[in-house]
Amino acid sequence: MGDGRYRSFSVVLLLALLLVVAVFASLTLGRYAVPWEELWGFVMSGGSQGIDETTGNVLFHMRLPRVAAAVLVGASLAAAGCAFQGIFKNPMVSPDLLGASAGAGFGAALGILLSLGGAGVEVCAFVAGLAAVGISYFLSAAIGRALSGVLVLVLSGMVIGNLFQAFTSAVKFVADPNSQLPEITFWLMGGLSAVREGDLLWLGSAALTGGAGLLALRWKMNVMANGDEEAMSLGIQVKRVRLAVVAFATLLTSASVAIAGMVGWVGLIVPHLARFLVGADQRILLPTSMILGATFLLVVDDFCRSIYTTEIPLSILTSIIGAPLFVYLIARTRRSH
Amino acid sequence: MDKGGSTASVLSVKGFACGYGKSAPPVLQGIDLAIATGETLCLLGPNGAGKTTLFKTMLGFLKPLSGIMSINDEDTSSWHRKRFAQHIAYIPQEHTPAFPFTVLEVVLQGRTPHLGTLGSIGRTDNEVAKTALESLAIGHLSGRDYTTLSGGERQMVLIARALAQQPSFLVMDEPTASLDFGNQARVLERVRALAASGIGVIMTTHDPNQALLLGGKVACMGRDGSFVVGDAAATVTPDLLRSLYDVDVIYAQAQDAEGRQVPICAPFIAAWGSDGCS
Repeated sequence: MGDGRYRSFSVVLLLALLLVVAVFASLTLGRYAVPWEELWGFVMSGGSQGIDETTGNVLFHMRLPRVAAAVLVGASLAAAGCAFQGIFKNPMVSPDLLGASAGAGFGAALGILLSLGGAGVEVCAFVAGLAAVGISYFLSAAIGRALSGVLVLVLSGMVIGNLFQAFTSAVKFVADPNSQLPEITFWLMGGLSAVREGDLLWLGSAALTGGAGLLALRWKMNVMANGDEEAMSLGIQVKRVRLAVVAFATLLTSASVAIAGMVGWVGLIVPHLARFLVGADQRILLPTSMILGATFLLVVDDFCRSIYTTEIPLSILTSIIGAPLFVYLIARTRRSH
Repeated sequence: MDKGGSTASVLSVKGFACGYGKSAPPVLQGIDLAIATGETLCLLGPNGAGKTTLFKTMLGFLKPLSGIMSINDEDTSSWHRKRFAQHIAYIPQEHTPAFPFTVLEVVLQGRTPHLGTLGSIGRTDNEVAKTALESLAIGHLSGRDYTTLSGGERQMVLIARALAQQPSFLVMDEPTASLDFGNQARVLERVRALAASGIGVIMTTHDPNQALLLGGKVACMGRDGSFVVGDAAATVTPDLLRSLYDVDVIYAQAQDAEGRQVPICAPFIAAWGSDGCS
C-alpha cells in the first residue's frame, strides 16, 4: 500500500510549503510595498532585526490580520464543503446546502438595517447562519421520522435557504437606498477589507473548534459515504455523527460568512481539487482540502486587492476562477472513469 | 467476547413481526428462526414476500414490531451499534460509492467497529484488511479504484470488508444478483468457505438451486405469510416451489463431479399457445 500513501503525504507537504510561500508573498504584496528582504530578515532574526514603524504598522495591523483571515476562511469553507460532500454522499454539495450562507446573509443585512456597526453585523450574521441550519435540521427531524433522513434534510435546507433569501430581499426592500442598501449589497458580495485584529480571535476559535471536530470525525465520514444502512452495519451511530458533522461544518461556514460575506465556490471546488490530488479518503482529503482552501482564498484575495485601484469583491473573483476550474475537474473525472 | 470460530454462537429470532411503523399493517408475523456459526441459511421467496423487510429488521435498520432477536440468549436490542457490528456484518446488494475510494480503503472500513473513539486505523487494522484481501485472492486489487472494478470483483471486495469486520454472522443481500454464471459459482463457493471457517451466513437469493447447492438451512417465505424453515434438501421440494412461486417446476437429481447426487430445479416454461391462451 505504501506507494499511494507516500505520494499523498508528499503532495500534502508540498501544498503546505506552497501555503507558507503564499503567506510570505501576500505579506509583501499591496499598495504599500514591504520588501521581502526586509520581511525575511525580520522573521529569520526572530523579530530582533527591527523594521521601521510604518512598515510594522502596515504589516501587523493591516496585512497580517487580513492574510490570517483569508487563510482561516479558506480553510474553513473548504473543510465544511469536504465534510458535507462526504456525509451527503454527493460531490456536488457545497457548505451552504442547509442554509448557513443564506441565514448569515440575512443576519448581516438585518444588522446593517439596524445600524449595529461592524461587530454587531458579524454577530448577527453568525447567529442567523447557525439558526438557519438549526431550523433546517429540526424541521427535517420533525417531518422526516419515517423517511430517508438525508433527503428530508436536504429538502428542508433548500426550503429554509430560500426563505432566508426572501427575508434578505425584504430587508433590502425596506433599507435606505442611499446608504444601507449599497452597504448590504457590498457585504453580500464578500470581501476581507473590513477585517480587524479583534475579529481574528473569534474567527480563529470557531475555525479551530470546527476544524478539530471535523478532523476527529474524518474516518466516520468515510464510512458515512456508504449510506446510512451500511454505515449502521459498520457500527456507526449515523444520526449522531451526522448531527455532529453538520454542527461543526455550520460553525465553520457561519463564522466565515460573518467575517468575509458570501464567498461562493470555495467549499464546492476545493474538495474536488483535493480529491483529484490525494483520493477520496477523508483521513488525508480533509487536511488537504483545508490547506488548499487556505491557499486558494489567500491568492484570490491578493488579486482582489492588487489588480485594480479599488478592491474587487471576493465572490466575483472566486466565481470567475471557480466556474471554469469546476468544469475542467468534472471533465477530468468523467474521463478517468 | 466470543468470536466466530473459537466457540459456537447461535443467533435466534423469536416471534418477529416486521413492518414499517406501528400504523401500517405488519409485513411479516410470527417469524422464528435460528442459525449457528458455521451454518448457512438461504432466505427464499417471491418478490414482495418480505425478505428484505426481515433482514433489515435483523440488521437493526428497522425496529421489530414485536419479538426479539438474540445472540447466545442475549437480547441484541439493547446493544449499541458498535457491539452489534462486531457480531453481525452486512453485505449489501448494490454498492455504488459516490467517491473513488481504493479497494484497501473500502476493506479498512470493516475495521470501524473495532476502532477506539478517535477511530484511527492502526497497524493491526491494516494487517487484518490485507489478510482479508489475500484470503480471497484479490490482494492485487488493493490499490485499485473501487468504482472501476467489475461486479464480481466488487462483490469479493465487500466480502473482504465483511471479513475485516471479524463477525460471527454475515447477512448477504442477494450476493449473486447481477453476477455471471461463473462468478455466481465463485461467490457460492466463498459462502461455503466462510461457513466452514466458522461464520454463520444468512443470504437471500432468487434461485432455489443456490439453496440446494449450498445445502444447509433454508427459510422459505410465501406471499401469503407462510414461513417454513428446514434443511435445504428436505424443504425445497417441487411442491413447495410451486406454491411459493406459483409456477410449475422441473426437478431432477444430477450427479456432480465428485459423484454426489444434487437436486436441480428449473421453472417449467409452457410452449406458446399450449396453455390455451391463443
